[in-house]
Amino acid sequence: MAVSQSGKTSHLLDIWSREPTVASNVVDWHVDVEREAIYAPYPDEIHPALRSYFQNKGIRQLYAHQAAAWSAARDGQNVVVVTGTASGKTLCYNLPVLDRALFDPNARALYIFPTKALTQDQYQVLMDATDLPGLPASSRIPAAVYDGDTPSSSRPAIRTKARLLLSNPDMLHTGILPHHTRWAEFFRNLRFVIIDEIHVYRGVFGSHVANLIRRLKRVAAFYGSFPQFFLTSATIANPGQLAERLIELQVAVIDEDGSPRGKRHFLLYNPPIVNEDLGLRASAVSEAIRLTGDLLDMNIQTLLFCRARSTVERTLLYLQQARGDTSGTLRSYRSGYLPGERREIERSLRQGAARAVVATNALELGIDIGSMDAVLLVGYPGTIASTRQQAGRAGRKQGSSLAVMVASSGPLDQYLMQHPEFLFGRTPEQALINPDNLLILLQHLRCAAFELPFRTGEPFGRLAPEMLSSILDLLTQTGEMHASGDRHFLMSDHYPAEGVSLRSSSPQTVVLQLAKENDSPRVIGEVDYESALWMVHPQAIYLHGGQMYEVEELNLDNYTARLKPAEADYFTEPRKQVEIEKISLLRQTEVPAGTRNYGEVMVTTQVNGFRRVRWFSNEILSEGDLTLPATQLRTMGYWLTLDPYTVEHLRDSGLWNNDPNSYGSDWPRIRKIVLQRDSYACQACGALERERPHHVHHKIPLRSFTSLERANALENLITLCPSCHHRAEMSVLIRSGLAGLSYVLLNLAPLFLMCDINDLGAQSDPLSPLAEKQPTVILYDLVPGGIGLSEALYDMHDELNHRAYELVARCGCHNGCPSCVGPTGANGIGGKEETLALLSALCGIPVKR
Amino acid sequence: MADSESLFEKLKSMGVQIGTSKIQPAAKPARGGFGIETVISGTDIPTAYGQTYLIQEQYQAGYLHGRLPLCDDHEMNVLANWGHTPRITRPGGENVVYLDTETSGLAGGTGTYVFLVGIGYRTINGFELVQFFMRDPGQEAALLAALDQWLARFDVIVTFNGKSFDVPLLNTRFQMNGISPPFESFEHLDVLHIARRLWRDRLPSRALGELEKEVVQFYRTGEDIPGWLIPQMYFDYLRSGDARPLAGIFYHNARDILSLAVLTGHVAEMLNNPLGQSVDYGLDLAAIARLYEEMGRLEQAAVLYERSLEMGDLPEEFFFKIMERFALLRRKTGEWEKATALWQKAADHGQLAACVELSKYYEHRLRNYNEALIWARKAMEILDSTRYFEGSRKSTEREIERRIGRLYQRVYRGFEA
Repeated sequence: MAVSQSGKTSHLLDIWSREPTVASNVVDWHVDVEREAIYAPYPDEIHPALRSYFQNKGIRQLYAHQAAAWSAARDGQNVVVVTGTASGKTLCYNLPVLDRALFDPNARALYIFPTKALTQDQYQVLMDATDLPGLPASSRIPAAVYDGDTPSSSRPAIRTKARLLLSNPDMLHTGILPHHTRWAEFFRNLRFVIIDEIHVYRGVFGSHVANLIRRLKRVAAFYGSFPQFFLTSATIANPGQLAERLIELQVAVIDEDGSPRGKRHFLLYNPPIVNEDLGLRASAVSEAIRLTGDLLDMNIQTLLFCRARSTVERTLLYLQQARGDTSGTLRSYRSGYLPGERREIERSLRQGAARAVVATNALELGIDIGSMDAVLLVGYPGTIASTRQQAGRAGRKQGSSLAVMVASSGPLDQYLMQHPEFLFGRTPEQALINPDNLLILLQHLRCAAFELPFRTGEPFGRLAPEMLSSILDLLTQTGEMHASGDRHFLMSDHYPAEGVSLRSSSPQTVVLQLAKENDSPRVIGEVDYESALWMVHPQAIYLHGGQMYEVEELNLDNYTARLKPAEADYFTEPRKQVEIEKISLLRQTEVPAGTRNYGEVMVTTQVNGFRRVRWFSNEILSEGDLTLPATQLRTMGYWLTLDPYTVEHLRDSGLWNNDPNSYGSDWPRIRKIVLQRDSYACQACGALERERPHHVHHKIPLRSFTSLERANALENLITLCPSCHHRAEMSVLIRSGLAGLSYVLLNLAPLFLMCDINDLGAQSDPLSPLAEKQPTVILYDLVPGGIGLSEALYDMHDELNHRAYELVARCGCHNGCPSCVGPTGANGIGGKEETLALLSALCGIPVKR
Repeated sequence: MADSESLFEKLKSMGVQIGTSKIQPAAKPARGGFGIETVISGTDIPTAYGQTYLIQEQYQAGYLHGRLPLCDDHEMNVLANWGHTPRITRPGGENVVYLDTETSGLAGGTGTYVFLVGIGYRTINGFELVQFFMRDPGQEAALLAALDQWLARFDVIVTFNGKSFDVPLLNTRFQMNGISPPFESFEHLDVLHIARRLWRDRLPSRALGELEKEVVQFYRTGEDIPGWLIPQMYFDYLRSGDARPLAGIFYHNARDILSLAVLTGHVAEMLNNPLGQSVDYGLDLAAIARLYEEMGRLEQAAVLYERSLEMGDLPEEFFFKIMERFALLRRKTGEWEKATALWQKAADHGQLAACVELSKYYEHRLRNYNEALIWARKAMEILDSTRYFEGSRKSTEREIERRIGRLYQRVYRGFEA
């Protein structure tokens, strides 16, 4: 008997709801009910050939948002369409573009997609739609892909003939704009620019792309064209704002989704705790494989999304082992596969031959694979938009479908398990960009000047005119530009665009070379200069493509690191000393317990050593010292500073850690030496030992050392009177509370900023130079000049701290775990209680004792 | 940014490399003093777009550039035929203009400027060389307008690598300045293309500098500036206003034009009279033979191949290659005996391809399978004893193996019958 697809899904859900080993881990079971389509008729003015083409494809009417996009487009507006996965966003822009192309035989359109794969996919769609039946061959609209894979022999013809050009930001940057005269005809007739999936263009990449669009508009204007922009975005908190910052034009937001949807189940699954003390949970991968097994047993086609490419391969391997199936019905899909192989996997997904596919987000964007029965997210994908897009792969129009997110033990995953409303309600995620970041801007001004000399008074997007002219003047003074008459000419004998990567803000990179015997070294990759110091310092273990390497030499003169293959049972962890100075304070307000601040800071980082840490057990095997130059990062930061009253209050609350330390059998002797060295005087207040004996204090707490000898080294010991000692120990506690606070804020921030945790830096300091030696936690942009993350955090200070409080308060661990205030041990103390006390103060919540 | 802090300081503290060499705002030296007119004499000529600096130089009819006369008349029709430039046939070439540019970069792109254009052409009295120079990128439109005007009386343009470099770049400059590019109505002969065909085997490179030394036998003075230094020198001039170091660039550009002009005449002569005085080397002759062959002039090609083999100066590695080409030509024209004689000779010198050709000849034409098998086996022997082999050893080996196998069967069956 054939069971319908939704029948099978319902049946399995029924089983799961009664199976305790599953049901007890499901922390939220969210059901989206069916939604009827909202239709609108085809507008009368659409070209009849186009209308009959779409009608023949089964699109009898338009959805409401498609019709709305049409009328906005016809009114000459720039449009951003923000609707769900598979809601027919493509048609929103293709309809007006194709229509115009049919009526105006010269009109050209430029499509920009974030990936080559997506470009190919959309090209197939367009190829079909540009060959309209019932029209003479001469009115066929030539469409072409122009990217790095386009053979050079076909490029000249594409440049002159293509009317719909599909490309990507990198190609526009290096291949089209610097050669715009070859595209004169194209630019003269450029009527539309389509930018798909704009939520991808955030952070550094987005700030580059915004400048790229400034350049594009500038070149188009040179040929007399002022194209209209059509954008699409996944659901984020600020699509209109992002769109406007990207194209610097007014944009109409269309977000009333008129497409129908079947019933959707979205389960949040939190793997069970396996170690109470450590707050350790079962691994997301193994739990996901177990659930996949159930789905496959029911013959439900399943797509698994993993965050990292390496996880994809590992998960597939485990899945194949668990199922005893290597017949090819279980597949993997990620970037790095050849295009042909990818097309084949996509096809076998559509046709149903592949029963389970493990993928990265390479399958998230647009690629047509038909609708899946079930989708499993192995860990939170990093952004809510991605979560929704990936989950949206299940169930397109009718019937019920299933998505499950299996949480990892990361703080964000755990936070979302407590707060499913983030995933289902209104998203808090903002995509932030900063096109005026000086470093990024400067690189694009050079590119732009190479494309067309700057005329005095000519604008560059919405960049402040005085800023533009002062940069041009500076470049002229320093000899990079030449001013003549009313123009600034770039004096460069090569393309500046070649040296500008759209994905990084720092132009200097260190090349990773694999030393080979009797042969010239092979380049296996590169890292940016700043990261090189802590990622590929001498003796570091560096992982690349699943292979382990040891760094033999880091040469900062010629920017190379020499690696050799290694098989180590440990990884290395750099020991960094970070100092942060304030350059200027731009914004400040009082908040409960202190102040919040936003300003420019200088972060000086010195990597002075590293630890070798055993894989899995995290046991510290040994340490090493390094002599490397300090690096400076000038950036923007958000910091919160505690006022003295709060600090006193916390001290007085007697949050005291009474655990006795074992100082070793030699302690009485060492203690005596220190007391003698310090002449029995308190080194803080100068008091001499009287009736109560003085204490000998570990400056760096004992528990942060691997060996007793190092901890008890004389330079780490100091004589203090009992009352000074009490204060010193309290400051350690406060420090650990501050450390916990910075950990939780750093880990939570990406939920609001749509960024990676590695885009932010964090530091806590009980004697911060940022705030006259007051305890301070700072989060800062890791991009030189900042990309807007810190300022956004400043603006959401209250929400951020409240969310942090909830996260720590509700965490089930005893005294700190990776899911809340960080692993025990950063300072030898868990710090959960102290962190919570700080957060209570910051949120104005009375401390529960 | 702190108020008192300059943009420059701020960028510097962000780690930005700014400026040309050192991170330091360079004080601009006072301009003037050493303008272009103090370096090379010329005149500022007016155009609709402003002024541009123009330098004119005359060369008498008897002028020798290297060993070659600048103003000799040559029969051009073979070269014209080869280059698909039928208008280039007039012996004096009064309708022909030689052109070379100096630019602010070698990679192209819309930010690469042409700051110096040199053109040369025949006059009644001899040869005239005209250089258009822009004192400043602001004069670009004027330079282009003047060039456009000057070019109007010609209809053939001759360049060295101009099809890929100079002309596309000038087209871009014209477009950038809103002037329609004049080159579409021109026939264009790119001498680099024919040079590659003529001297691929004999000369280590086909760069103009190399041909100038080897063919023209002209040797530049120390005044010359190597091409790769030129962009930076122009930038330095713009920054400093001191034109003195540019003298070498004008010299460089002028020599390029003169060399291009005499080389074009010389090549035309070589092609028209390959058996005349202008061809000194067997390899050159063989190269011309091949061009003739490709143009369908098989009889003349055969004569030239034969002559090149007789000249006795062919390096061994080329001798047999040319012999084989010659043999293939003979086969094409049906002169089998002449072809086999050539192959035989080559085979005696251990030439594998010749053995294969002989094996084919005996198998397919004479149906002498025994003889064919002998040659095929000989080919295999040669292959086995050759350490270094051009091309794919595997596929050649397989092909010979198949041939031997087939012939062996034929021979065997022959006995049975």
